[in-house]
Amino acid sequence: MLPKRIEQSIEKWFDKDYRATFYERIEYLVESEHRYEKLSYAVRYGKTLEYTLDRISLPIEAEEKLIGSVKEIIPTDEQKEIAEKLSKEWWEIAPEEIQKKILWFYSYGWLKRRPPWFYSFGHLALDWEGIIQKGLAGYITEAEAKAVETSVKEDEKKASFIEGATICYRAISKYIQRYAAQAKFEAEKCNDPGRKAELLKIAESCAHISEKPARSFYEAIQLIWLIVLPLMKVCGCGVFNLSRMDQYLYPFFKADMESGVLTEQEALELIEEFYNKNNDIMTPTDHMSQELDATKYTIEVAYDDPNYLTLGGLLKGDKPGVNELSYLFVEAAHHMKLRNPFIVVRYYKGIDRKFWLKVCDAIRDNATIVVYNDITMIPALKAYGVEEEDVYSYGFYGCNDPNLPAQEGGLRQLWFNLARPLELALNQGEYPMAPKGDKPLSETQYSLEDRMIGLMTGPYYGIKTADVESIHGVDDLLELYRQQVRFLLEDYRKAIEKDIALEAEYNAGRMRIEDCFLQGTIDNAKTWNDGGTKYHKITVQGSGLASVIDSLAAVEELVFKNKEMTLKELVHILNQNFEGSEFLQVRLNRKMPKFGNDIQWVDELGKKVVDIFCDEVARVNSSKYLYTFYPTLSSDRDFTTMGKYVGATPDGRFAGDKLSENQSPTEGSDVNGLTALLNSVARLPFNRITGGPLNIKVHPSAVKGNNGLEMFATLLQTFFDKGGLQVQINVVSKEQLLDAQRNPNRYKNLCVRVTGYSAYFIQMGKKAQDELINRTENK
Amino acid sequence: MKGFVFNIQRFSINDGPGIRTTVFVKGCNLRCRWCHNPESISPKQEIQYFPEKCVMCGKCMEVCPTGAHFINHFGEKVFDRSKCNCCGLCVQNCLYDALIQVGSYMEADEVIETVKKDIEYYRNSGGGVTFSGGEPMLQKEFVKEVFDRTKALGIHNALDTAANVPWGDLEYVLPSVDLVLLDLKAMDSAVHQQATGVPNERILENAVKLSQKEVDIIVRIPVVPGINDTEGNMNKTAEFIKDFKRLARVELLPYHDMGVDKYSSLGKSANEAVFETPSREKMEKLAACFSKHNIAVCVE
Ligand code: SF4
Ligand code: SF4
Repeated sequence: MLPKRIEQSIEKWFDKDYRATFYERIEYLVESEHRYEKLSYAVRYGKTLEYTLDRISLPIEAEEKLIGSVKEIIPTDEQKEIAEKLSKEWWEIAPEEIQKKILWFYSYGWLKRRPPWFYSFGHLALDWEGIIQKGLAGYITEAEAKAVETSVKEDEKKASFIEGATICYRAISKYIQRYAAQAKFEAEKCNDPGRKAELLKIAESCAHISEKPARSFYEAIQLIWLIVLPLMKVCGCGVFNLSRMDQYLYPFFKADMESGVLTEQEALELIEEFYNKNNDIMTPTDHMSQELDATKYTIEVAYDDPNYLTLGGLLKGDKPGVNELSYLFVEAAHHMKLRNPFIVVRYYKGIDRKFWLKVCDAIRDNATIVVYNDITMIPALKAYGVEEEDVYSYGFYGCNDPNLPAQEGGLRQLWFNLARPLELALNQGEYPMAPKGDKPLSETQYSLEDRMIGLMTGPYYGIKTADVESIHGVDDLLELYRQQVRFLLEDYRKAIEKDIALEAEYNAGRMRIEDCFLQGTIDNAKTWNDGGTKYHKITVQGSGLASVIDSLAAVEELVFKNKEMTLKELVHILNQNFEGSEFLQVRLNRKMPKFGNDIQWVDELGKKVVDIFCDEVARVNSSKYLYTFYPTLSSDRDFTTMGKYVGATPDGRFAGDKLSENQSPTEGSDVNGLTALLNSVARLPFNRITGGPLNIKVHPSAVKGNNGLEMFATLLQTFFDKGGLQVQINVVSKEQLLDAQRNPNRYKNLCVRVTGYSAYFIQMGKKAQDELINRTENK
Repeated sequence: MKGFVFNIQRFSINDGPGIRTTVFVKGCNLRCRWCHNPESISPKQEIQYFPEKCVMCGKCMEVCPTGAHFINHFGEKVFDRSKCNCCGLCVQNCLYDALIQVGSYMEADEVIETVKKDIEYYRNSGGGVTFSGGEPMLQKEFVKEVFDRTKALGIHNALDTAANVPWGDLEYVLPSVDLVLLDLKAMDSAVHQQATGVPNERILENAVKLSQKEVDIIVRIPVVPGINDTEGNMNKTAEFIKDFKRLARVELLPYHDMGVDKYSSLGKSANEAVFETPSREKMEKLAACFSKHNIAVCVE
């Protein structure tokens, strides 16, 4: 049972006006914009943070035990205008200018609320363990020690980074002290003796953790929240990886339980308050649904970014990681079924069955829990250079990007459209939707914007490969495919290396708050950008996999097996977008062997495609580069956008239609049930793939009752033992979703897994809703 | 050897313990009025037609050698079954799944290949393979061949049968059977005759003989309002089975009308097959008839 106060708070959030904005942030940014202009980047960053944190309001909600909120208002038209104008002033500049300020920015919508002199990405894990173990004073001491080192003193960039970081630590410390004072002040006003005592305790604890390490389970969570909150809402860090909370909080939990100052129930409530806090700071909308009023309106930063947290998993030396706290974290997620935080449970061979059943039970109730598999993830990460001593700590941030907590610096990614090299292979490197003809290839196929945002938009051309007339089997075609993949990846590596060189020139010493709480940055007096941390990664997300597999299978069946036409003829038909070959289109679309049906030879084509992708990614990695590419299989929700740029494909897909989604079979083509689907997917070589979701929709009738739960748990367990990577599941029927579209008020809290994040169904746009409704329903 | 199969369903969790693959064979010697698998009854191939999926592409009309598909003078697409000889050509050419051929002759090998695909799931869940139907015992040679071989692979074998066959047939397959899902519809033979077209004496005799064999038994009773949903019938059943030595449990399966749409796709009328769905309370009450004899019972 959820405590009443939390239940009410969630209820209130569902009715929250999407215009509600933490406007103080904008106000103080405006005020401080010119105040610190003359200072170095890092010092200016620190001063801006300090200026804001010194001034923002410090709400404390009735009855809450975990404090930390921001004050929201509905902005006036004028206020809204100011915010919009700022975004324009900051960022309506040429892409080349943007690049000099920031190398990577995900989307314009995402960029616009982050000022050029005060931007943050989030999308990483801070050193949470370090924070609660060392306390802010520990960080300050380390930075001060660093500041006097000659090498630092003599290097202007290093010195200013350390100075800026120190200002940030102090600013946050002061902010927590202010909260302590606020709690004390409210305690003095409070007439209820019980609450008064609580507030005094909060005040005492906050005063302590404003500098020193946490002493208790409560203080540890409180400290984390009082850092997460300003970093998200003031700095704009979206999507933190809170990493392994059940591990780094465990010593506190255990000590408190042993000394009797904490009960399990109290621990559970604190976790629930923590979840609620995460959910509560979001704007009620879905950022992937651009057409929504709420998404169009919002001037909030990091406005619907969920935080990821990891539970379970192996510990160093392959010891099982599930502990009592893991249970509590799952239980809280099951009680609440919120979209934030986004919980990753790490499966491993021999995971405690009781825990596993509890996880599956929460999943079938639509709690925001997804599962990753240590059996494949650990070797996969190692394959790209993660060392044994670090690999066990792995987690994720949105959307499904792998992350080594505290050891790397944030979101950089390329959605690598796997269907493009296929099209190029079929057309000797030509792009039929906008033929290049005899013009030479430009220096890179990746426009600056594509590099900065990570999506491959517009025309892409390949190298001239052999004419399809000369090939005699699918393996020959795969060889051409490999050459095109190689070409595109080599091109990307070359282009991005130039960008990184440019970044080193323009962005050196540009501190972001993230740099203050990573491992290695202060030690090396270098920001992440400058190479401060141990790991630097760009995820290369293979997208549209099933579209490619089904295309190859159709070619095999139609051309090489049945010999109904030559590949050349088929390519010609594709380039006409099936005009005049409508019957063939339907046949290709509906009657060919498809991925997801446990057809071994089809699935093996999938394995070959993924192997090619991984081989070629690995080929463009090298110790001479700062950044390593990590291949994942993940399209997020951009499979629609990506499809726009791909002509008709042999799987019967029309030009411009969406591609297959993430690891899933093409929509509606898996018809042999869940085990068949899972067997197909498990044939992919996941020990080389470092992340990405498999979305599955399960009909509630398939998992009902005790037996249903047992079978569901065993089904997933078997999938993982067979080498599956991930699952995220919606247990909901088509009828329920249609009903929710008609009667949104009855389904306010129906939370569904979208791709790397969850959303409340009724807050999603119609298009996204329909996408979910159309996913194959497994009974 | 070949069997006549109309469906193989994987991740089946209601046909015996664990995760199972259920092989449905075609052909039945009962005519239960409520049958929700009407496509399982006839021992011949049949064509299912789903007009709502038809896009009037005309392919079937082009290829049908007997002119069974045509457009009538109202402009409607018609399938005249009386002209159809089940050659299957139209089905192969219908890209929209509006035409489906029910029943295919499958080699035991083929069936086993499919069954084997989920072997890890069986192992982890205590599942296996189930023969259902139709009446699998009408294809005893096929069932035996498959079962002998799956048993050799360490797979748990379940046989779903109405047991309306000579005892010798059952005895013939039994050595490879781990579990019998025994369908008992009604204890009163006249009622049984009226509801299924056959009396129940042989079934009950077989049931008793089965109970003396080294094989687990789950008794399954479809609960059909107005037919067998009385406490009297359930009490009698309970009395009858209570001393079965390896009775695992009784499963009461409430009638549901999910099969009704299939009738029209086969050109049959569903009128006879429509009943009410029994209420939860009713089911609980009937279940109590078994629990009072200490028989484990579950309501699906
Ligand atoms: S082939 Fe299928 S879709 Fe086409 S007219 Fe015949 S039944 Fe209709
Ligand atoms: S099965 Fe053969 S005979 Fe029957 S309708 Fe189809 S094509 Fe005609």
